[in-house]
Amino acid sequence: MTAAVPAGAAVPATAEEVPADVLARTRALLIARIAIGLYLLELLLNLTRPKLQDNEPTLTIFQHLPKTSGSLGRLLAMPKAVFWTVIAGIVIGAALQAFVAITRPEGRRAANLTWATLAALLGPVALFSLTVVAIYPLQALICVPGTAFVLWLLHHGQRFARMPLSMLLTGFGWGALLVFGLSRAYGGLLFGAVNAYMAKGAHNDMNALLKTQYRVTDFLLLHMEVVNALVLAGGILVLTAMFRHRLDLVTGLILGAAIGLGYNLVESVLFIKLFGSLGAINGATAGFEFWIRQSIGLLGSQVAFGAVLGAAMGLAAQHHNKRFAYLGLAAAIGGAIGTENLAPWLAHQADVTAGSPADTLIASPFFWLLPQAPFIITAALLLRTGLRTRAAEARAAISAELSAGPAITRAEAPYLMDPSLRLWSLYQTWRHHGLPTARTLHKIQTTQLSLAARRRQHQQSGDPHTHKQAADLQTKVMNLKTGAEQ
Amino acid sequence: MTETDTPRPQLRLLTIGAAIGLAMLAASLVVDLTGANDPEMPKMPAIPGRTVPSGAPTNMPQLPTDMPQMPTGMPQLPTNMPQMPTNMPSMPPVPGGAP
Repeated sequence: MTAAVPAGAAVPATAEEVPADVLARTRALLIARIAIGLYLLELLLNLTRPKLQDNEPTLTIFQHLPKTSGSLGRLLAMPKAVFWTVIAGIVIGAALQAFVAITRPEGRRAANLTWATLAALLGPVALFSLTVVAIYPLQALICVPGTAFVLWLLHHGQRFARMPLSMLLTGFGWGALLVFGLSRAYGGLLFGAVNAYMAKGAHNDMNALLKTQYRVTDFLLLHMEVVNALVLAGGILVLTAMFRHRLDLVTGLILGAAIGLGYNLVESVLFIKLFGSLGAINGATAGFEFWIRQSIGLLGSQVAFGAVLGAAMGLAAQHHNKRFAYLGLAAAIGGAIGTENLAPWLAHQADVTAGSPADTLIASPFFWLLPQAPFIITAALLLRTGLRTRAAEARAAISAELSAGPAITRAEAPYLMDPSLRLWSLYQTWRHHGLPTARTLHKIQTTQLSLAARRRQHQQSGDPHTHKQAADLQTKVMNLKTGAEQ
Repeated sequence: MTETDTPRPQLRLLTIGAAIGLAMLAASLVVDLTGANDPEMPKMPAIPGRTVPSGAPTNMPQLPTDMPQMPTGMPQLPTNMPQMPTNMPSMPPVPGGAP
């Protein structure tokens, strides 16, 4: 799971700078270059496509929709400003990389230039998602409670070395802004290009034209799911290096699910609006889309596929075996494409009146979740095995910490090793000593667990940064115990 | 990069997941390529065929070619029409006024 340092990437020049920084930047720069390279390729394909009509715009994404299309038009159209911002970002990013290659800066300056390059290359892509959320704030707002609940579940579903909340939220942002943004950026260009090539000979044949569009949409879905999985996997690699967090099964699974959750949020906003606008034509309503995507299927779709892929990435890193990552990619890509295609096909086979209560409450959720069920179950079973492994690791790390210093005492150790005992101790403290004391105890226990995890991580990796983190955590535990810190 | 002990249960789970994923991908391609998910095209109503009784003539009857000659000379109409009287009696007034 290592990446070669690309030319122009910042190289550590001082002894203080630890390799994890360079690794994070190298990975991020590599992913940004691949993503932008693919975008430019699709831009070129769209530019050189055969023209189907007279006076067609240079790029199909600039096609004018009828003035009367209103909010639907805004939904389907690509804002020109977003496109030109992306192009400007690519130019600035390329200029910065050329500057780095010529001047070869060192230390902190090199790091700042790499992050600036990344911001220029990938930052504008986030505008695709932000535009969707900004244009439809009400649809976005109704998706917030469910999403916040799943984030809470993901945060508290980890045991022992829980990843920082900032890392979880950054993962969520990666999914919402980058995975969705790149998916939409590629999709708009590719649809126009492939459609032009395939529909070249079918000008006057309405049936052939429609059939071509269906096949282009199928191809687009395939392309989109492959890109989604790759950008998600890239996010896991970048974020674990950036936050210096050990990548294992549980971390990968939780982070993958958070990235998928971010993607699901923006996609849900789009679909709720789209089906709300097209309800008169296709029968689906905004309410139905909310029910399927943000209620009954909230833990499915990209959350489940992201979790499986993330767990596989974690296992690959943990056991230095790339086979896990390939298997995860096959499961996530195949599952996502299969769900999108097989769920409507299965629903079509069932003789249920569309829009009836039986369809809305039972048939449609059943057929939507049926193809995803194997992956939801796989993710749940992987999480179970991962948590068991972590429990064993926690016992070993806490035992080791007992002899390392006064931060964990023999009396505290059993409570730290057993989550149910820990919960019971918190409840009893709350009952007999009040909420502030219970909150302090919770903070002490969480910090003690983080300390044990960091110490173990340092023993395994030798990363001096984790050693410093462990020392800071030890001081924090002592301060909390003596009341010097609240 | 060296492989450490590969955990069998996790490997088995992921292998099953990947196999199901690939099978679903293959099934999706079949659904896509056969157009099984395509929305139904609107069908144009066909004009119903008329049933023809058996034994009905299928050929047009031959018309006689020796048709009688029509007279070409039209009779002259009288041009001196009698003058009509112009002093006609007026209508009596409607009681209650004009409707």
